[in-house]
Amino acid sequence: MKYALTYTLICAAAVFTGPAMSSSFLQAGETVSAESAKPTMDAEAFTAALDEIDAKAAKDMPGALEGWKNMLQTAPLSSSQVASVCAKMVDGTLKTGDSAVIADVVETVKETNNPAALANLAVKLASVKNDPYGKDVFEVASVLSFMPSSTEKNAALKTLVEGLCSVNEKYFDLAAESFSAIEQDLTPVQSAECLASLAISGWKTCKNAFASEEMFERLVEVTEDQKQGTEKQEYRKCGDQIIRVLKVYLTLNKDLMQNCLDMAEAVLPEDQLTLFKFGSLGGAALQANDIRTYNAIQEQVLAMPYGKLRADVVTMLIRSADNAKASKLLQAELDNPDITPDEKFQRLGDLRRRCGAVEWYQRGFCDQDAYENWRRLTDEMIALNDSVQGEKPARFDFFRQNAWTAFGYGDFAFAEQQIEKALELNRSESMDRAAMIYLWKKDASKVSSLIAEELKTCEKAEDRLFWRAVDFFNAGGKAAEFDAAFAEDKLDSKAKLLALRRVSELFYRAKRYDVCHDIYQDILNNRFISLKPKSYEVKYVPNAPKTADSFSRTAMYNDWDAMETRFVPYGDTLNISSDIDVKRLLKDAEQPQIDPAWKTGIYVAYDMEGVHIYVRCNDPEIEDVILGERSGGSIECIFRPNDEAPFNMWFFSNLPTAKDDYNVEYASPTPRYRLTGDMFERDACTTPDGIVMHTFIPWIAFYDSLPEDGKVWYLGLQRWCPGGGQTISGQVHELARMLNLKFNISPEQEKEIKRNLCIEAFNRFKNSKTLPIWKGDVELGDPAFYESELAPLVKELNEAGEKLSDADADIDALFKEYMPQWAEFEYTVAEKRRDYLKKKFFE
Amino acid sequence: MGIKFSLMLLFAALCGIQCVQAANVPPRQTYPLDPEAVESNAARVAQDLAGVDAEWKNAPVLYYTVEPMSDIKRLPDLYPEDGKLAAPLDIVAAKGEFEPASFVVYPKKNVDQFELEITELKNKEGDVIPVSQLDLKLVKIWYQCGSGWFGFMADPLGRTLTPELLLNDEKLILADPSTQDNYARYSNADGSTNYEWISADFMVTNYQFTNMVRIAMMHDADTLQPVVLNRDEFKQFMLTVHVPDDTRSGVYTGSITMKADGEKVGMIPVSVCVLPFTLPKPATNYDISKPFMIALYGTGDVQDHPNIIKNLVNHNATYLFGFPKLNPKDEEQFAKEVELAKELGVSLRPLFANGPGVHQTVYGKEPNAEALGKLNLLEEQLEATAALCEKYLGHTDFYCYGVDEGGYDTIKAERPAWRAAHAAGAKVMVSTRDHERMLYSLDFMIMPGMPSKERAEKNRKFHEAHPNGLVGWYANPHSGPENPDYFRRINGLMAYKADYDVNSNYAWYRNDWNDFAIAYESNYRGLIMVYAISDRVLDTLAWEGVREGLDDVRYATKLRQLAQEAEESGNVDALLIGRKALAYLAYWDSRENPDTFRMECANYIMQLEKELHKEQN
Repeated sequence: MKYALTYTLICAAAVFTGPAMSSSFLQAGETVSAESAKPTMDAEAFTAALDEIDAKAAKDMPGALEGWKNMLQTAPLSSSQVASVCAKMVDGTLKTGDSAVIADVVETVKETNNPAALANLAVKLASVKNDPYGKDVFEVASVLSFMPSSTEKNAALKTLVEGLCSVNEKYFDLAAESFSAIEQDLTPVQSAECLASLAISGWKTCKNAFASEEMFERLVEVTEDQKQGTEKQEYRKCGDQIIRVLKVYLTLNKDLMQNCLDMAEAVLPEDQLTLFKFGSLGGAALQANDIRTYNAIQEQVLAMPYGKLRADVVTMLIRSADNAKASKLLQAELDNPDITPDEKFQRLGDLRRRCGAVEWYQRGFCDQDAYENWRRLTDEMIALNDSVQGEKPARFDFFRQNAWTAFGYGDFAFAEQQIEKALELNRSESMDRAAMIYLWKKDASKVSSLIAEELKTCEKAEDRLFWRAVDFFNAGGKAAEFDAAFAEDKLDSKAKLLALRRVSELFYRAKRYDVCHDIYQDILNNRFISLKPKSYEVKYVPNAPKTADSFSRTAMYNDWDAMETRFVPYGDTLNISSDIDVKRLLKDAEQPQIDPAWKTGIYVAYDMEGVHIYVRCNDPEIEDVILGERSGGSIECIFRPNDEAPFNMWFFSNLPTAKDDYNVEYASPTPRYRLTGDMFERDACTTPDGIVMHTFIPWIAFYDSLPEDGKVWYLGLQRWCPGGGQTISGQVHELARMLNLKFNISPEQEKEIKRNLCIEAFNRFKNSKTLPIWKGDVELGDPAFYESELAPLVKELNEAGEKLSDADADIDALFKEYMPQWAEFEYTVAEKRRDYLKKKFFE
Repeated sequence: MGIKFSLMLLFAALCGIQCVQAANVPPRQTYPLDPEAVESNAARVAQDLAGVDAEWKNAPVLYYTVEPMSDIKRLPDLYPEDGKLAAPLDIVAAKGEFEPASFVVYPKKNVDQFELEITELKNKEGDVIPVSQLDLKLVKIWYQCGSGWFGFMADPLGRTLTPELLLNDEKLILADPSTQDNYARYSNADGSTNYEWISADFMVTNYQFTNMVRIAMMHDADTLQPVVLNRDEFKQFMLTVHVPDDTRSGVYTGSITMKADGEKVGMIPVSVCVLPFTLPKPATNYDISKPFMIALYGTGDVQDHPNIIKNLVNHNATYLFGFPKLNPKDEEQFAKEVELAKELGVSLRPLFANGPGVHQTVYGKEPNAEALGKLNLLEEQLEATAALCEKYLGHTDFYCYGVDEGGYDTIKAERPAWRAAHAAGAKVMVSTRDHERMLYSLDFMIMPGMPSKERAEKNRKFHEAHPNGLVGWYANPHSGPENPDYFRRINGLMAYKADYDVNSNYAWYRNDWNDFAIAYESNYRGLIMVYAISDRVLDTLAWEGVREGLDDVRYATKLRQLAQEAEESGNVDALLIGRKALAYLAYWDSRENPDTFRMECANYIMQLEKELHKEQN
């Protein structure tokens, strides 16, 4: 232990620093009492001044420190204001970890001689990790301890004890000793509060059951003294502290809780004891799924005489009980012959909440009887309410909520009846549900009159706009006319958007979907930036570079104009939150930009073999990547050859390697989808400017969806790097905004590509691995199958393939008829084999 | 919007489609058709008619049998390339197996009430497979996110027609082409019905959850109801046959009668070849004595829904996450749930995601008092849980769940809790990346990423480090893609061949009806395999695919068992057939056709049975 912080030493330190401190203390003591008569700073001005310094602190800590000190020195502050300023100053400066600044702060606080500020400072200093300010804690505590007795000092000492004891074992000891020294100055309740904190920390902080029990025992003694006394309020407050400790032990150490409960049982007020033994222990049993214990408690509760205590226990238990258990307790409460109408109404309401889930959104399976139960109990509550003479137990919100739930379950007439009652009792607060129901009824005049009434009293500008907007659509207004209709309001685009959204939600609830569609389309088409996908013209590059490295050594590498560079910071996604709508999607939103140092460009080229995708990723600190300081980031790509096809996905998980840690395919291998892993070739390299990645897609991968006749292919790409996430195509996996790749393949090129493809596919067929087995391996194959199912097809495909060597062959016709058959021959064989065997089973 | 799509919408409008909300009565379900496709389809159908019996030439409704688990996204204007016009619906199934078949109908005129009536299936001896074991459903096409059929991430600007739901009542859901939206028929408390918009995204509802579906108000019929047919619009149906365990092997025949507005317009012959064997429970590829399982997130909280549990079991999903719930403090409830589980066929060893969670973390060298208290409590809970499990089930094979997707530091901090589980005889499971040696004390690693050959090596190493350990997979893809072929493969042979033990994808069910607005996760599509309504879950193509995937593994397991028997039989002919079969299994590649795989397996199984049990034969 670097500093022996015991109470004895604090006293010694006080002696050592005695004269100066006592002088300062005396002045302070006088000041404090004198100040109480002085005018102090207005609360609002005080808060504003403090906020101003707070704002400054983020950028200019020395300036802020000066500000706090100035306030302390010059502003007419009350004692509590001094404590607040000190607290802000301590919190702000401790974050810096600057020992000189903190030393300055410690001195400043000490000079205030404000007990609360000193206590707070000591606790905050003690709480800093690794205890670098132990000496200061010691000194500050000593200053506080030698101040003359006062209410403020006692409260501060209590703060000190309660704060220090929860820091660590060392400070727990200091707190305990401090408490012993000051106990005689504290009120019994203050003592009980300190002892409760010490008892809790004894276990929670120090794992010391002995110390905990010792403190608890002292707490019980203090309480017992009060039990004998005349101050019943004080006695109950001490009892509260016992319960506080027991509740904490209940969660941490049940044995300790039980020992302490045994100690306290004879001392605690009976009702507090019962509430704990039944309510708290029962609730804890429920939370721990300890149904055995709970059942035993429940039995005792149900045997209790009716009355407030039992009702309070039930209220505690039902907080943790499932619906069945809560219902049992509540039903029993309802059997109380002396229950008052108010109590009965309350209990029926509790029971109704436990009759099943009737919320609008339920995540799990259906609770089929929920609404029927709810309605039965609601009817009972209404009958009870109607039977009460004078002040009724039901308030407007009961009817309002009834209308809401009933409407949600399509109990429309009842919903209307209930909302009318709610409107009678509190029109303004029932407006939202009422508008929903009358909009659903298409009772435009009723909606209008309700809104007119509301506007007479509604003061909040946002709400006034909302109701006027509702009435606008209620009267048949269209979203396109909204701006003109509300021109005088001079609304900005955000206000309009938020108002329209709120209106849309209400009309959705009212099942007026036509209005919602109108608003939705208006927002999407007129208020948002264009969300159309970008297009890129693919370049024809004969014998295009076959690797990232070879690309980086061509003029293409620096030809940014030929690249697709319109990347935006990731996050411009629809349907995520209002915040994104406002900050990214509204037309006048200030669009965030990519840091130019991390520029990204896509260059797509095709040749007779296929398509090459090169991505140049600038990285201003590429040396760090080369030297292994950090990864070069990653790239996530998807590709789709038409808008009904599955998409291929591939990653460069850890640039500059081309490794893909994900290996995901989003479709299965069939004649309609070829695996990314089989078809896409990838590589990457570093350059002095960053990283280049390259992907090659051979034509044969998508021979059935060639980008001829104006057809486009689609590419999605996101880059993740220290410069931030970038996207060219919206959200990951978003297909609707993939970059459109436009080709301009000449007829000659198309013919050559198709010829090459036919030859490649024919060779694939010729090299079939399975065919020789089926045909010629009597044991492993099945010559009969071959002869009946495959031979004619093989003959036809061979004959067609021979035509390919003819320079005048009709390539288009061969491509159309035979390309799929050659390319997918193995799939065809599998299908024929499946059918052949199936047929055999039926024979 | 492309020109093609505009034309479709125009065509749809000309067909008289009305906005659903405008008239609150069920409008006729029609879909947008591409006029070019309609013309081309008609020509192709006419061509196909040349090859079938004359009786079909003038039939108002034709049908094609198609592969039920195909990856083809069967849309109303898509000619069934793989279909066979007017062919019998032939099904091959083992005893006890559920097996699907499918057909699409092609109407040459509008039909208001198209009905399908299926007969029982009979063999020559007069044995029957009763109608109660034949489940006919409509495959409902509705709108899903732009990445529908393929992806699990949201694609908010796209909407695509997607076949998915297996319904009895077509009118439960209406897809409205005029706005590309879905509507659900709500049965209101006042006895009326209305169509509720269930595909509004969060922008419509101001980012509130108002656009979620209230499942209590949705009811499907118990049997297939009449549907509408619109001229030129293909419509798909699914027949699932359950062959009772005690069915005699052989061929059973029956038929499905097609009726259009009360008139019989055709008959589909149905034949089921019941194979002479039953299928075992699936075992792993790398060790035939270890079970290959499916235990999905979202299968808990089923204790009050026996029919939902039955649905899971009938799809080979006999291991549920958290059911029956091990709670030593509520033994009565556990006993009740165990009884229910036994009655319904739920596997009770091991129990997954059960017992107390083992997510308590201890950072630093030793736990503070609070952590220590929690650990002590955990130890007590684990001991009591183990005792309960032992008492009712005779084992302590239960897996407690750790911190979901925790990083290395979290895993390190969980070790004391995991140790407590092991001390009690329990095991630990959690979703995690493959942190290699750092996972030494984990028993069941649920690793993200589709089962691929690249992950097989990771699995092999995990098994080497954990001789009794399990490897499962989830995510990439999560649930969501509707393609049944894809889900069949990744939950079946792909996971099997990559030496996984468990399919543990996220998730089987949560209320994700609205594909365009997923609560708390708007960047995703609905991550589910089934949809709940008031009293049951609705099956989907993907969920049927999962069952078939597990059945593929059951065929492989059966074959492997017989091959092993052949090895030890002393019968050289049997041994060599067994070797051929094993070689077939070993070299089967995930690119191959799983239907063919199934037939080859059945073929080998029967050859082996014949050879091994010659004397009995």
